[in-house]
Amino acid sequence: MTSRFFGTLVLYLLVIACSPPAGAPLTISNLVVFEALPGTNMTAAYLTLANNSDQPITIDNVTSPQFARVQMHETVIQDDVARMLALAPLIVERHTSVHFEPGGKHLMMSAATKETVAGMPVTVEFHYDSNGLLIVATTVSSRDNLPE
Amino acid sequence: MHLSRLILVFGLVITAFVGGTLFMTLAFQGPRDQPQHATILPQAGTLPQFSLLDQDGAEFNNESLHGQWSLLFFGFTHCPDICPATLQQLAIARSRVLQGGAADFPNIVLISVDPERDTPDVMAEYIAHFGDGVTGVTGSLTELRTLTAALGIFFEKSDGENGDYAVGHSAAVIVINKNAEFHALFSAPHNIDHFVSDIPLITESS
Repeated sequence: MTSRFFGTLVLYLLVIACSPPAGAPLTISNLVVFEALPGTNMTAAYLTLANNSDQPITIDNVTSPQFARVQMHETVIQDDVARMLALAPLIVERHTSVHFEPGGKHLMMSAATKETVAGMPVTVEFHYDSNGLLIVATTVSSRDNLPE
Repeated sequence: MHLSRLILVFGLVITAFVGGTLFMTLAFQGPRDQPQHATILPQAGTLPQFSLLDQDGAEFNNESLHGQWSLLFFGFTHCPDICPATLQQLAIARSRVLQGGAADFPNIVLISVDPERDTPDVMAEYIAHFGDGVTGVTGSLTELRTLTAALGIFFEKSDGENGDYAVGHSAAVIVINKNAEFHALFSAPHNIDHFVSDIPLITESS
């Protein structure tokens, strides 16, 4: 119990230390990482990426300590057939936002290092423009909160 | 004389306005007792004989579809986005329709297009999340292709990294009637309100 508390504390301190200052070029909002469904060790995450700068920003890749692999994907439905397309690298044009939402762009988070249950702390790391890093922490959400 | 002409013109304007509003309302709303979002087949299609397995390992075949309406969705448990979202939408629609006083709702059937990973045990664990009225089905690729070909369902495995392959698949929800026939379909993208409004109309009309 105590180790979990300190683990969470360290995680939040790390996130605060890595959080972008006001006026940051890249911001993440509405990050939702869903619990893995029973029998699977993977899940999806949704969010909004905003480029607040005057230059395009390239999202090189996304990682998470809680998952061996995180991939930016888009579900594309064409002729009623759903396919997942890889997005990396993803370019966010200047002063625009990109929305990751069910049935569209999403983070596919697979090979979870431990069971992904609602309430568990999770960190998502966005690597951009070759050497930029934005770390966002949240807790895993129940699937019951899936947007309709 | 002048006043009566004014009244006549005013009456015509009011009549035209009311008539136009009524026409537009009916034209855009359509008949209320017809499904507005599902595509109803002109003639229900007979399914070929197939034999798959449900989440308990029991045979799931044509007979399993007889006597009740079913909603078939083809997907897989390692699908992160559209599969859980569609099942969740169907589960919510089921809940709303039953809470609205309907006696029953079609059985929701997830048929895996990834039998390599989706064993009956995996399916059992997965579908339990979506509540009552959901069946998980898997089986051999041969049997799966027999069924999907008749329904116009496409699926194709695509190579990924580290064994993380995906399966592209049709996203339609297929409506099977009580005679185990292909009756209608909902095309993607799906919407809970569409299911809630159309499914009772489909099942009550036949």
